[in-house]
Amino acid sequence: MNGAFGFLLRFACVERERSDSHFKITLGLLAVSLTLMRPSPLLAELGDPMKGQSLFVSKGCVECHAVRGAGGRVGPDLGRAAVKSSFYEIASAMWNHSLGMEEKMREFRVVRPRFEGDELADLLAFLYFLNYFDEPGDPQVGKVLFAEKHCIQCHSLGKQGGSTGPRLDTIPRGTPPLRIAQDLWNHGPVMVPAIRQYGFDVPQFKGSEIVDLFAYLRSQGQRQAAKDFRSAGDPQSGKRLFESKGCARCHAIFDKGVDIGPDLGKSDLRGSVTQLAGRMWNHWPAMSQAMTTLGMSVPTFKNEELADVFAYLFIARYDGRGGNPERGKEVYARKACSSCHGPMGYGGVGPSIRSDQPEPKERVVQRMWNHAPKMYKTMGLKGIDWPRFEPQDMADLLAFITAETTVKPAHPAQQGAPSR
Amino acid sequence: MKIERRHFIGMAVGATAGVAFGTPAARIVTDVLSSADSPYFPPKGREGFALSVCAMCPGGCGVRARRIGGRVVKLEGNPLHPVNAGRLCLKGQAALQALYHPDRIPGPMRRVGERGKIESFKRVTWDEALGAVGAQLKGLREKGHPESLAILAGGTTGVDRRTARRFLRAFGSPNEIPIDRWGAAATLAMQMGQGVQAVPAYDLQSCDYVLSLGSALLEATSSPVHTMRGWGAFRQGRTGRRGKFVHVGPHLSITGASADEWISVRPGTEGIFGLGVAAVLAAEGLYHRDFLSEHTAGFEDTLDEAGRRGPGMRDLLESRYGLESVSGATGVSVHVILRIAREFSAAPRSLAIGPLRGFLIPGSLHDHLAAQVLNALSGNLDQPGGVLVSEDVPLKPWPDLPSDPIAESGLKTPRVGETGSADTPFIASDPESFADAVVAGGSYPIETLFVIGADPAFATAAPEKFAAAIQKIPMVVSFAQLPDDTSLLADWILPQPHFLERWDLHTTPPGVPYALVSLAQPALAQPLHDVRTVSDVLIGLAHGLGAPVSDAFSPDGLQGLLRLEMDGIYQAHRGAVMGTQFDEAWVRMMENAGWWVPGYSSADELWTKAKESGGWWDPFYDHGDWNRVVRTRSGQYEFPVRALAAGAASRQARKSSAETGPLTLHLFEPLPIAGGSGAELPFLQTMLDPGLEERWGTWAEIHPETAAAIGVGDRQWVKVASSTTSIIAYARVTPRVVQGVIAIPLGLGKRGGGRWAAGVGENPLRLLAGARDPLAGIPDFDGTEVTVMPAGTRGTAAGEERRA
Repeated sequence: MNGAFGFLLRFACVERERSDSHFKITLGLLAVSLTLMRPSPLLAELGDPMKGQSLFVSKGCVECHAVRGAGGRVGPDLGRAAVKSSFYEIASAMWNHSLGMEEKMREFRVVRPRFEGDELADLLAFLYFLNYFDEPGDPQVGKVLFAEKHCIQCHSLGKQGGSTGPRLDTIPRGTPPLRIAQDLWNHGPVMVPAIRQYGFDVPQFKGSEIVDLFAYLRSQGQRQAAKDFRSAGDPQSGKRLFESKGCARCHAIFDKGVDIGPDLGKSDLRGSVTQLAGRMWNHWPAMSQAMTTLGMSVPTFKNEELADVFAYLFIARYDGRGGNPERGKEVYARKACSSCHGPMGYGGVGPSIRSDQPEPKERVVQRMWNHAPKMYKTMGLKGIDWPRFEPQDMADLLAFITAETTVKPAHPAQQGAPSR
Repeated sequence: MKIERRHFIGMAVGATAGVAFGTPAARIVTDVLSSADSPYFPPKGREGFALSVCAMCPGGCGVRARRIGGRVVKLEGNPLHPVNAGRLCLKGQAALQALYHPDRIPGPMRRVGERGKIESFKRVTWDEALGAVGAQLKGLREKGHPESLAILAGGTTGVDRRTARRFLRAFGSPNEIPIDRWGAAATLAMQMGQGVQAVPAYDLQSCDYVLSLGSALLEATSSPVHTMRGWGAFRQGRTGRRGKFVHVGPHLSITGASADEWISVRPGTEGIFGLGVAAVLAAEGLYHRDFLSEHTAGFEDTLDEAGRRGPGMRDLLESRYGLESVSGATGVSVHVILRIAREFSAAPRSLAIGPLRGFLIPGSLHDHLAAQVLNALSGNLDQPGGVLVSEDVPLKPWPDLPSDPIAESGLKTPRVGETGSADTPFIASDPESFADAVVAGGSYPIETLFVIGADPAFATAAPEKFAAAIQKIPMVVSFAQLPDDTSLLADWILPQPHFLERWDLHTTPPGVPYALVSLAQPALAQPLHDVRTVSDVLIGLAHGLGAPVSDAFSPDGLQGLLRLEMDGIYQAHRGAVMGTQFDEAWVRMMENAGWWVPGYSSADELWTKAKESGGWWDPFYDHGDWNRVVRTRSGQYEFPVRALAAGAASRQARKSSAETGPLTLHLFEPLPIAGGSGAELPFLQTMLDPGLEERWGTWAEIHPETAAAIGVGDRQWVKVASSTTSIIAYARVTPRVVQGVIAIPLGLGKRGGGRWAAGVGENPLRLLAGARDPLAGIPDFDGTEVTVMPAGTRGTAAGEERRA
């Protein structure tokens, strides 16, 4: 079973057994189901983010790169750099910085890390999942937002606030943001009319405002009851819920599905799941109207359901739109890969970039990464610039490399290429 | 004896060490080499490592033991352990000497001759020892007097304390007598001000200014390495931001010498100085107004329902701690008090630390309260860089005890030596009051005493009284590794394993804010001697007593207990197994944001990973969780106005007495022998005070002018006499101490403790006259008046020999 899927399921598993006396049975059934369940193509190649976290340290990445402030400061902070919300964005960024990194590593006399087995897949999974979680919000900013967004008119916190809505200082301090978002969403049918009755606009959240607001709500709660629920969601369950709750009747994901509502694969819907929850809330008035028109009722969520749906959406974005082998062939030629690796990638000056066996894209990127030091030298001698890839270029290139081809490789000697 | 090449190398190393450390060290090396199980010759065999927890002090450092063949050859800090992050202090480094100490008790022993000599003990089997002790316990319960059993316990945060407490409750006795002194007064201050019973945890690494009111921060804090890590970050860990440290006290200790500024005050006036600073803050409005209004009570005057005015903290400061008054009491100029107050208020994050003076010396409650007042005024209670309260460790509670009428009856009896009163309501009992009650014949007799992890006949404020009390108890059982002073007076000695020979589960050390659990594993396949842990012994005794006492413990033994407790960690859904600094930052950030990423999917996996890493912890500290850190009736920090008003008189009285004839005794604890342990190990004896180059003996520090006035010269033997007894010490005339004071280290002068401790130096605790802190009710280690004169005799024979 792939690691990332297990990673999210582990959240659910640990969460849901809690004080369940049948924990062992539950765990056993889950293990069986994990073994028997055929992973969806979207999930099949994800690495294990937990292993990736260890690799981030053991491979020395942490010496130069921080993750949201923790780690070195030579390279960019990978938790705060421009958001990378698909495998191809991370892989292309990693490849593009390879040359600069090589120079820095020489300067600092650091050995370049090599990756074996599934290591790079695990590392990339870790980097991908960084976007799932939010940075801690700022309760002070949240306090201001609580007043600015008029929450204080209806809800009380401590000794201040209105009494129309429920008290909010009963939220435990450890409540995960998605749980609060779920309560907010479910509260919509009551809250939105009430807000309008007061003459206010329904609050909209930009950027990390919702994270700060939730941080403020959590900071006022009791700690004692805080450790109960921290699930990050089960993507399999989320996929089912996406259908059963009617989301799929309006929303497509990367053009797959109905296009009444916004495509949830759109790049402007990226960000952490809490920010996504904020956008979902912003969408509430328009959506409720549209659903009424379609004769649907606005879905509500219970237990961990919203977390499950977001886990599904988050995992679904990993592959993005995917690549096109034909465009990849064009990229291959345009970036001068063919000058060393042969016109179809079966080798030339450089080695064959194709594998005898079907190979996940993460493995291809891993081979590219490990091969890079030799490339520097060869390309330097030939005066060829280091190839840089846009995320879509990388997706197309990998699609080309991993695609089956009927063109048989000619022996290098027959091609007139020098023997390696 | 055949001399092989490796023997020759070992002796060469010994000779080199002798040159390096002086003649005594050479003799020690010879002593050690002559022991049967010398660790100094390179062993042969496979290399291996084991993770454990240092038990040389309560600090709870994680250690990594390197083993070659069947011998542990090196101890290093566990780099993943959050307390010490790979560092280890000199006591931890010396722990191997304790493991291979030639005088360790080899097996259970029964006294057959007069008390006080190891020769009076005869080796017996465990069956014989446990049979005799079990029969005695059975008799107590059969007579319906389980309360006649007492357990006096000290030591570390391991499972033995928890087992002992449960055993006592299942057996039916209320007489658990804690001997831990560290943080006792500081804990009382927290209880009075914040309503929580916790040692304050100081966030050194995040603050900018520290005012130490007589603390021994860098010598004998509960977790020295953790404190020193915080200190390092405070001074040098932040680019462009070096914290300032000001130490107030009568003695230039290691802490004082490390400070940016030492403000020498008359003994016992550190708290007065602190309140003088607080008075300036109040008068000049240099306090945190928002914090005071939101989170404190009692700063301003109050009116009760009848309209009567109650003075607030501001009133007390204005009326009693004016600049001139404080200057007169402390001997510090008005300008210095003003400057310190303004510096304290100007720094972004200022912290006052009370007189945490050592493992044995709790410091004065008055002075701890003064520090707390300063922290409240600067608004840094439970803030980054401020005073934190340790998070609870979510160990799984043991099952409820079975119903037992005999135990319930015994538990209803009052403790022997109960000391709580209307004035000192927080103190339940202490070893001194227990000894008093036993000697005086209290309300009921103590028939059996277990002494665990403590040496009360040496390291209490009344060692002689305790020795007398022991002789009145029919059965005294000492759980010890070495024949210490208490063991030599006991009836049975049940030998304890070294920490490298056992499993254990330690909880957060006092003074560390994070919840953590450290798993100790044996580094040796088999203990070197015929030893059993306290837990194993007590569980065995419980099972021997039959139901319902036996039902208190599962038949799985010690490891079963540890696994049970760890299940609570798994179910807590927080924290992570110990990891790198990156892991720490990651977990902290995630939990701060409301997420938790479990690094384990089952309790078994958690156990396995805890063994591999050293334990579990939760690095996230939730600042400003007022419901947890303030539990007073008002829900706010309450300024201790009445207590400070009551304490002011006693502090003033002490000040005036220091100016007259007798000198004021100031005791301190050098790190190598802090807590009354360490003198047993020669490596530690050789480095008692690097500054004065003192070792292998008790010295007394006297100011040059004081020394001249009483006719004492440097390096001269002096007799120090109190109203109870006198000791001989080696005078060191030095400006490290203020006039009118004599400073003497604690930790030497044992009767037992093995060949390297017995008879070396003097125990100055014998000089104490039984005074108690007027506010706290706990023994007062300070302020004893002594006379000092040149001695006609020299020091103790053993000390003389070593010193020579």
